[in-house]
Amino acid sequence: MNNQDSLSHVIVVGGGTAGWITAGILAKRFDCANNQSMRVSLVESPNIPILGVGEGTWPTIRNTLQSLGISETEFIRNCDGTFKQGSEFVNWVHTPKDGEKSSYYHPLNSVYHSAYDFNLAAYWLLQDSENRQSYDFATASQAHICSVFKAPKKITTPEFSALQNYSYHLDANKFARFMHEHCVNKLGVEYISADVLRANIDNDGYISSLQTEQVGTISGDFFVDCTGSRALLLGETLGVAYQSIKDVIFNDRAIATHVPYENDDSPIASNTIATAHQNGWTWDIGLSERRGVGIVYSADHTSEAEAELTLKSYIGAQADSLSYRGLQFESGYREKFWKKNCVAIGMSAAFIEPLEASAIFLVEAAANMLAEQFPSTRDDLKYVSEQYNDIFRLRWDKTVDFVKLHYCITKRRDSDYWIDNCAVNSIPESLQDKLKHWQSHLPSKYDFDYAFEPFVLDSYLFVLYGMQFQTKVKYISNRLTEWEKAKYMFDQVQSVANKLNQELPTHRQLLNQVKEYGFSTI
Amino acid sequence: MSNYQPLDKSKHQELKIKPIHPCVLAKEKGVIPIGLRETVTACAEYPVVFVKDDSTGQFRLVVLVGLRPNQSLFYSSDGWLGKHIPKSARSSPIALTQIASDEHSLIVCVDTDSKMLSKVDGRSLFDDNGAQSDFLNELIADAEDLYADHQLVKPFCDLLLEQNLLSPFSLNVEAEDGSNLELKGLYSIDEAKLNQLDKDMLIKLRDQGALPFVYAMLFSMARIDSLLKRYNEQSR
Ligand SMILES: Cc1cc2nc3c(=O)[nH]c(=O)nc-3n(C[C@H](O)[C@H](O)[C@H](O)COP(=O)(O)OP(=O)(O)OC[C@H]3O[C@@H](n4cnc5c(N)ncnc54)[C@H](O)[C@@H]3O)c2cc1C
Repeated sequence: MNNQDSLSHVIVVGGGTAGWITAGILAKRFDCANNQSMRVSLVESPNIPILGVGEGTWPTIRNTLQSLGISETEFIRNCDGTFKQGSEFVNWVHTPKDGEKSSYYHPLNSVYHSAYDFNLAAYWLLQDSENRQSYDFATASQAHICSVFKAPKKITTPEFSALQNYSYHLDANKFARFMHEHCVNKLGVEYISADVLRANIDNDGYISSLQTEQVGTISGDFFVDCTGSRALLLGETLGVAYQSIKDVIFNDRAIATHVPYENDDSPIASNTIATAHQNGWTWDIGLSERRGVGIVYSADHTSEAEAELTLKSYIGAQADSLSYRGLQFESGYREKFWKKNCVAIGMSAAFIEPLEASAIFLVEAAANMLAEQFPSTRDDLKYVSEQYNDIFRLRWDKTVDFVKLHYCITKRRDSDYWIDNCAVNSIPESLQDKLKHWQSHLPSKYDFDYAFEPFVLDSYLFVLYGMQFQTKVKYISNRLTEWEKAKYMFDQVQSVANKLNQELPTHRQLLNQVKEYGFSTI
Repeated sequence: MSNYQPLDKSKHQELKIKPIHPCVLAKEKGVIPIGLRETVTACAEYPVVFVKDDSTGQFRLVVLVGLRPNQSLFYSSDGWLGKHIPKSARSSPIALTQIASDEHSLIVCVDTDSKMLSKVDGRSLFDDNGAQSDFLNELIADAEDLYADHQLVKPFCDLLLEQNLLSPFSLNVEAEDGSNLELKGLYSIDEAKLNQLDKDMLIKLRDQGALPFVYAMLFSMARIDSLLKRYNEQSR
């Protein structure tokens, strides 16, 4: 291939969440269903199952699905989808006394709460700390809605539109099958079922083709490595090393299970429930047919048996009748994500433990950038890949900071796990600097000024003040002048919450209506 | 309240129906569902639009008879104030219902709580030999017609949605008395999109017999002014 030849055949290797989202976004952008000039193929091993966990998404997924021409109703029906309005963090703030539960919400809402234009946090901090409402309930109507298991919209709301911002919980295996069908039938992705044995490299160090067990050689112009943590192309073939961040993010094991609902009308939470334990945390995700529950922990701090006990006691009575699956991972990322004519997306590129469910979001972001900036020829690769590597390196670094934030400002000291997590040398400097600044300054939009920041001001505020982070008010009070407006906005949050509470169906009611009737497009 | 029971000769042989004025059903309804064919007559008097059913999110074809939620400018204790009484607002104790297990078979039901029923006055449902009276047959035919006409709405609506021809709108008018009348959550034909429709799609609409109803809905928008006029007259 010449450096000026057009790169017209993209091969995605891997059919997990990352592979299908990427193939779909590329095929849509290149209009493969109607136009022969670009091809997108997806090669998947018939023998290696997909990871099949990863049930939490971000609101960007709505835009992704809609732009791929997917019906929200079909998606929900086929993937056991439910509506996610944020996360509830239980027992993260301090060590719970026996049977005690404390929690805070990190809602997704930016409709009735956006600190970007007017930062209510300052006025909240100055309220009497004994008597004020918690930060989430004081500033976000969505916290109220979540706490009573209400849905973020009504059956009369058009598909993909929201009354309160939302993303989804989904069944990862069903989602991969659903996307497979849609990408092949509607978007013109070519599907090849085969085990890739190795990639062939040409004299200039580019991947030229794949050697497969079942269908011989498959050649292509550009390769997307979605092979999961093995990173067959970028890692094994092109030799890009993996950098562990174990010194910052300790968790490296998980145990996952599926928990049936007790009955047909058990409430379904419209948020992920992340509960901190002595040596890790459990996720609890309500899908329409079951809950996905699991524990994430650090092998250096506890044993598998111990972790399983914690998980089982969290699940309660049903625990002994369920089957459990152990998973290992290492948080970290590749030195680069894009080398030559190969980019890694998904677990092959990076992984940070799932506390903020950011993996699928970053897959969407990666695929969108790849589609938008897709190199026309090999001559274009250098510029685009450097730009891409810079942006994603930054996105991952920022994600690490934000995940670490949940751990390092806790007052829990009930184990080495929490003590080690708060050790200064485990906290990235970029986060230390911010935390120091915020002891005497209110977090501001200028702390998050980069266009591609994954977590911005509102998210930080919910976690910081949910975790009862102390910002010294004496430095702030004399700079505040808009008390009237603040009072109006605090009242507004409560009245909107009351109104929504009356109007909105329960989460389960809405899911039943979606199953029976579906959303309309308008 | 109503209590529909399957019509049964042995139980209902003696029932008679008293004629009372025909619009009792529509007292506080600002919108009244109509069937597809009814659009053609209704459009001369009322705006014909779609609204969503609150509990299913499904579209219903309706006529607007008021300019505020639950306001009827046509209901009066002396009778309906318009020429065309929407069929589903005419009360009849006879209705058809689907059998849950089989959506294609219908059974004839009678509302045993209806005030129109009597054992003394009115016209008999069954004759002396126990056969259905002509009157009952007429009522059943009306009910069948109403049912069939309503069944046509969904395919029509799906066709419009598929062609992207519906748009949401709110009705917002100011009355003479200064009050602001508002109705939200209405859907109607998007004229601009209709005009941009490519030939094949237009032919599809024509072949499916949808075009007259599309235009009937468009023309009916002019009836918003008639409603306002009526409102102004009534509130003077
Ligand atoms: C405990 C846990 C919880 C998580 N929770 C979340 C969450 O809530 N939200 C979130 O966004 N993310 C979450 N994640 C991350 C998420 O699971 C992954 O990002 C997601 O599964 C994407 O995986 P993938 O597609 O990159 O890889 P995989 O699912 O592993 O897919 C790999 C694909 O590559 C194919 N393959 C591999 N080798 C070959 C070969 N040699 N030849 C051909 N094909 C090959 C396989 O057949 C498979 O199709 C979680 C992860 C873990 C471990």
